[in-house]
Amino acid sequence: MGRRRRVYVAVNIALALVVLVAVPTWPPHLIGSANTTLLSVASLAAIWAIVAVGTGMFVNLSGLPTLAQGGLWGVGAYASGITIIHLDIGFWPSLLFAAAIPALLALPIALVALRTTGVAFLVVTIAFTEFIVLLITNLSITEGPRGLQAAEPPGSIGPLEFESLSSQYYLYLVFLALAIALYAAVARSRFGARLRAIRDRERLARSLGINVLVHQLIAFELSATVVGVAGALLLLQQQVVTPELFGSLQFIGIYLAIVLGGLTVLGGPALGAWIVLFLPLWIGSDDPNMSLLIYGVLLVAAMLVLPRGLLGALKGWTAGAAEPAPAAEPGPGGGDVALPPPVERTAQPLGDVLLEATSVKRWFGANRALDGIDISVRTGEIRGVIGPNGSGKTTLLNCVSGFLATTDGAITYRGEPLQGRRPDSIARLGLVRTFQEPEAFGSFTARESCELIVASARSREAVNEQLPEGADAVLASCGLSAAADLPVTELSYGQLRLLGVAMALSCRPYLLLLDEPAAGLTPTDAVALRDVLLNARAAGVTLVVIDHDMSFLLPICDSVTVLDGGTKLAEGEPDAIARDPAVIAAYLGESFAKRRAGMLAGEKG
Amino acid sequence: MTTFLQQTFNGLSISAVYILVGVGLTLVFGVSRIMNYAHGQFLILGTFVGYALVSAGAPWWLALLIAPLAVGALGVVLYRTMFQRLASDHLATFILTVGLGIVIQQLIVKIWSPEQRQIASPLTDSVEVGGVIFTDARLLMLGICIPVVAGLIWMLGHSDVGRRMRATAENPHMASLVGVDAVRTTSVAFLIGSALAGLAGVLLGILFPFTAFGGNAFLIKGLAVALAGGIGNVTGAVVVGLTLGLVETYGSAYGVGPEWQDGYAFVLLIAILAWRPQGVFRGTVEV
Amino acid sequence: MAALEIVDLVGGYTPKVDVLHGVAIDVHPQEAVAILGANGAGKSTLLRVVSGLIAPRQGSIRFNGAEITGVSPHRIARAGLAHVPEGRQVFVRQTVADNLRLGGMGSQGQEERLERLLDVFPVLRDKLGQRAGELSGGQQQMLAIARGLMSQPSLLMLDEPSLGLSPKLVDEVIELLARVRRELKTAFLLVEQNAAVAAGVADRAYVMRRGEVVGEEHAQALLGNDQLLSAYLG
Repeated sequence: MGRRRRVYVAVNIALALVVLVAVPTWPPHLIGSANTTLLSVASLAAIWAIVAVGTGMFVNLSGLPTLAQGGLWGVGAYASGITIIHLDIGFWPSLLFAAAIPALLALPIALVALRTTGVAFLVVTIAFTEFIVLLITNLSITEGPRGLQAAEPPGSIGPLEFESLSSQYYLYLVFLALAIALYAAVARSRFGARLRAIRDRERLARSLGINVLVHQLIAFELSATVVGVAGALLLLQQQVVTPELFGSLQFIGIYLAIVLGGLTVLGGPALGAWIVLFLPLWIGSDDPNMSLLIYGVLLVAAMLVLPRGLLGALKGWTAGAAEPAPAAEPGPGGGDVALPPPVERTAQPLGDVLLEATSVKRWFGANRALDGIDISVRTGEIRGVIGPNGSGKTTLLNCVSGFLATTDGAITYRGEPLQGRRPDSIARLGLVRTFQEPEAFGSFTARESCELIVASARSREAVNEQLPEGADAVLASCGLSAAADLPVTELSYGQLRLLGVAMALSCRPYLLLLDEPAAGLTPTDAVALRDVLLNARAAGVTLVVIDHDMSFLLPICDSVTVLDGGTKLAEGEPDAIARDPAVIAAYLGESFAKRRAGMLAGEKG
Repeated sequence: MTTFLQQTFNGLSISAVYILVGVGLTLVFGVSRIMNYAHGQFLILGTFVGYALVSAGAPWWLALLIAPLAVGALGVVLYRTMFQRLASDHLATFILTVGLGIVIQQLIVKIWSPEQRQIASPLTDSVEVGGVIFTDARLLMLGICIPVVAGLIWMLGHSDVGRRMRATAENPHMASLVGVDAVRTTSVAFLIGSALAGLAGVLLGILFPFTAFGGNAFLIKGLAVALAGGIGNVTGAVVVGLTLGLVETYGSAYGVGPEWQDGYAFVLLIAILAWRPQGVFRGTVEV
Repeated sequence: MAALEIVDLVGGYTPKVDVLHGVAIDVHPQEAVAILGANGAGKSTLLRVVSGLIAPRQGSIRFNGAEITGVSPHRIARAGLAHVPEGRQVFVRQTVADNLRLGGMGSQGQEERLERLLDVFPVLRDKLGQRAGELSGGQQQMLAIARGLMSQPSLLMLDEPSLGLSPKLVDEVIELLARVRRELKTAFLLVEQNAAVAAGVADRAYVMRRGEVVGEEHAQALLGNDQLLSAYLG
């Protein structure tokens, strides 16, 4: 963040604080009608803001729009009210229930919803919220549609008393500040970074050993706790809560707040809540139907005009004015990179069998992508895998790394079967793969990407101690030091490819599977990549490399496996493979090879 | 036994509504990847257009024809002007279409009334066979729903329009390479899907009294039907819609009280998705 | 007048990264032209630009004399330029018959053409009611080609029809394409890694490397041109 921008943000925060704190001193009927006072609307806005922050936190970090928070908000309110009434406890102890019970109820629904994706996730959360509303409406303990009344002010804490409405208003502000602080802490934590990584590119995160379900579940639980507490506050402020307050379509008001304020800015959802609640009053309408219509129009307009929200748009303008985008630095292709000296290829004694696949089959209907492949890779080896397009190379890699289930056959790594393991769990064993298309976490810089993985890998048991530790060391080993602070979206194609390898090396793996790492690289980048791979091997990494570029692959390999039509066509030392007539035929076409051989023979004769 | 048959008949006529709503949602989503959360308001709009026509003296069968067409046309216009720009962003689509739903709802309140209304139709008779009462309005519901859905399934399976829709649903890029105009095909899907909501709306208005605020319940049940059936799969929506209407009716009659009737949709959805996250049938527009 | 005339084509998937750097190619009516090149040479990208899936950044594409640069893909397809994409792309959830009908939609005489093509592709006749996803790889490739021919295109673009097929099937595809040329008089633009298919089908071949055309040769001479072949075999 630039200095100008920091000052700008600080001034705005200070202004907002002054305005907020001063609300109780304003004339009560400054806006609105006789039955809405400024203080009550401001109080409600503060509570809405907490819900908006709690929901926005999950939506922003996970990328999954949820409406379950509507129902969970209600669960919090009723949990507080019911425990106050039936357990005869005060407001403060009831807060514990308002936090814990929504978190408990969120668990099963999140487990179902998180197995689905996209639109299904949203619909499942809608169904959950509607089900909660139905429960609240029909159970006797919740007092049905008439609503639950509990008008007990919080007991005083030391010299602080909460009898007056203005003191309660300040209480809401304190909780709002806590919610924003929690959002900030989560967003800036390693946990939050991993969540964003999952959001940016889920399968890449999986391939680097991040457990997607656990991260999303924890974030959902945190969000459930925040909105649950906000429910208790709502009951305190309204003194009565009714089921329909928490329906999924009522919750759209919270989304309007999030959208107007901006999803990606910490204070955005809070700002939005104020706008949503005050706007109908400013326009001078006390008619709930009119304010609904205004909401509807605002929702439509916001999506068509301001998809990033008010604060998001403001942030974009000020950032754009204050900080020109950094110019792209020359990458490895630029020629001024200092790569560590490459290790000479020496005939190393090979160790035990590290990876063994036995008659692995993978069929897609009648299409037999793998039809009984045996492959055995020994520790310290660089194994090339070649074959025409569609011969099953990537399918094999997907089966080994757990991204595809095998139809039949066994795969063992260090003697342990890999079947049934998820990709992230395989990655944590030190078996890491890269993807054919260069993939990266779109909201990260190169260094942040590697730091994220380095920190996650630190606690793992299967770590190759010989590899450099720390993001900077890994980036340097891949010749990316100069590009470390560039957002990944500004990297060149070659840099992106090298970053893919750097992220994989950040896991400090024992076995690295690379899918066409040299595809599309300039000759300079290809040389850089070759050195990275040779250095990794010198640090004890075993490599399986798929590629089409023979001039890149053959010189670095100890042995080569050739696939064709889902079966193994040949296997052996690179020189022998390059001369193998069957291999030549598979690439060139058999008849072509024959005719060409005949033609060359004819010329000689 | 008579009671059971009566419940079955009543349940089937409710199923018809859920099927019309769910099939519309699933068809639109299957072809366009856009979930229309204003679909429930489309239904209510259909009811009120039908109500306005009948109140102005038009015969009920004309209302049954015009209201769906009007709602279908609205669907196409909204797709071309708004939805098209947001395709594939679930949150943006959700917010936009819910916003539109609210606007439609409030316009209905402004134009007509927030009060309860009913379409005056001559269909108040009933036929009794072996103790089971077949009311005309419910017979009409089945008599229209069955041929309409059967016709739609036939069209998807055997006509060029249907082939275009299935091709676009499966792979829009490849479809464009064989000459399918994706925008036009998606417009047709919006026309049909929205018209089905409008049709369900008029039929409901003939059967029950209604207000401007009932759309949400049908939206949520339609979503459950579309999703549990395997989003994009028309047959799946028919099967789940049929099940839901019957389960709700039997449940109210023989199980827990009628106040829990709305809960079956959620239980069914969650149970099916916990069992098969992709729904009962596989996705993409299919018959 | 050339059936297809590509001049100085520059572009790629994103505005920032060009895959094609000034490609120029023509195909004459009823001619079969092959484009040879290694993976990543830009062959498939070229076909996608021609069929309108990707807008080029610069350059011109004329089809039967009409400028088609920037025209949407379905219009280009209807103008008689069929594109059979890479990787046996068929509609796997639709039946074989529906796949073929989709190919011939909107033109006259669908049923006769279907009959005629089934004579050329007899293997598809027994499978008309099956889902395309249940076919073997070779059959799917046949289906994709037949679907492309259903619209009676004046130019058929084929993206690696030999991809992932066994040598025997590849020979069958070569024979089939030769027969299609004889009987239907369609012009071909064929992208291949497999030089045998190119030499067996095409009259003329271009060799692409890193987004540029690096050579042009008659098919008969292709076999002997070591320099050209090594340019893409690497």
